[in-house]
Amino acid sequence: MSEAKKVVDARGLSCPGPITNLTKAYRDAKNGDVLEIWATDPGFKSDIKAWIERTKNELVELREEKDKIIAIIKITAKK
Amino acid sequence: MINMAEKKKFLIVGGGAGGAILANSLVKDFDVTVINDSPYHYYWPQLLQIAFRNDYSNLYRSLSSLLVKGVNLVIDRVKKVDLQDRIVTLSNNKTMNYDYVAIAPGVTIEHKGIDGNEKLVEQYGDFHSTPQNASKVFDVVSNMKKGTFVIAVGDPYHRCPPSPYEGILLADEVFRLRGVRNDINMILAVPYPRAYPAETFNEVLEPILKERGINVMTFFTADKIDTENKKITSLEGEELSYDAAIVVPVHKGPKIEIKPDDAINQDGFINADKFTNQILKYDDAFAIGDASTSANAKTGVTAHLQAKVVSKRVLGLDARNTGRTNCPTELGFEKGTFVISDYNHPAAKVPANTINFIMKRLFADAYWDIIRHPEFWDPIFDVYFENTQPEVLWKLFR
Repeated sequence: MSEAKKVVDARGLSCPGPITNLTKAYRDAKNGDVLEIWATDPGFKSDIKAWIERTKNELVELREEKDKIIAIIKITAKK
Repeated sequence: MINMAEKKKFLIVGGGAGGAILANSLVKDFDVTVINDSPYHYYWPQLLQIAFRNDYSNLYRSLSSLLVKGVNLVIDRVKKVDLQDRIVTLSNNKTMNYDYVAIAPGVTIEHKGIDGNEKLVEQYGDFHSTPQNASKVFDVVSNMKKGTFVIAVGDPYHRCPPSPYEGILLADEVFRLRGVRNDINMILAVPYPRAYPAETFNEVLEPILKERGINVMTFFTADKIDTENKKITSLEGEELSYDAAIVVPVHKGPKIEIKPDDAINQDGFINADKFTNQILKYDDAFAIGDASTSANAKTGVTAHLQAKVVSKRVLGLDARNTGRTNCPTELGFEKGTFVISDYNHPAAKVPANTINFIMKRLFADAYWDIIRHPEFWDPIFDVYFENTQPEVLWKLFR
């Protein structure tokens, strides 16, 4: 099985929000995959950290660009 | 006056809120045909009223009674839409061509998308699929005496984002009225970091859930259900035991073949621009409502507003979606609120009160008239939406 990198574009979403898109992508992902999530919702930074803490996946990078917040996640904890 | 012969052909696939409002808004200027797979138009929010109040009153009406004179209605299933050749194929392989098409058939509910949910729904029902399943929920909440009652979300892209918390609060109302609430542990399990995904609105909701003694399990997306041992496992790797449970099922796009293939995403939803509803490069094709990726929330108001945008765009106006939501929600015990947001503003903190509950009920009762008479309701809604913009509400409710 090959590992994949997928971009999840959740820009402009605040209700229900970017975690919705992440959950959807997580269902289809497998261990080793990398998800790159783009968001503009300011609450996303703390939400993604909480998600990582609960699910025990790996947060590779969390950075803010001019027009978006980018989180890069490596899926490592899927059962 | 435009002669019938000169009017362009506008096909609308689906006669739900979006399709019917679009048809009624276009009939003066186009030769409009609605194709729907059933003679009935369902008001899906009524499933909650069936599930927790055994109230079937607003469930459906005949679609023909909701369409303005002059709109053609075809009752058939659409098999295929070819955007390149402008051809719609029906179940009997009969084809129809068009100058414009709008695809608005809603979602497909797939219980099998979550392992064990087909069996679970047979036992306890749900309030996102059919009236029959909603009536099973009413049997459960009317008879349960003790144990753990769970509502868990299995798919965050479900219809009506507030419905899971509405469901648990209405169940709480039933249990309290029956005098069994003290013996029932109630759990709302959601994929989000908090009870409601939008943090701002969560500030309204969370104190209500707390006051009513409802436990919230966060970051829990129902993934597998073991109906023998009565356990739900989440995508995130945790377990939840239940005595009765409802899992909000997986929603997929419509079962219609759409050409070219890149017009739909991996879940079958139609890729449409979130501002204009246009499908890819086809300026004669639109997708609106739940079936479309352009809907940021799968709600009737989104379909309604998108239908109005499309009806203006095809007349040459530069109308655009603002992403406005306007979800009236019930909290039980005659309290209600609204989840109101748009692309640029998070959900406002609209307080829970009885006026908002009455507004929700009035809206539900006016629903059929709103569909049938856009000429009467459009100016009323223009005033309503103008004065309840999220930026206005944000100034009122801080």
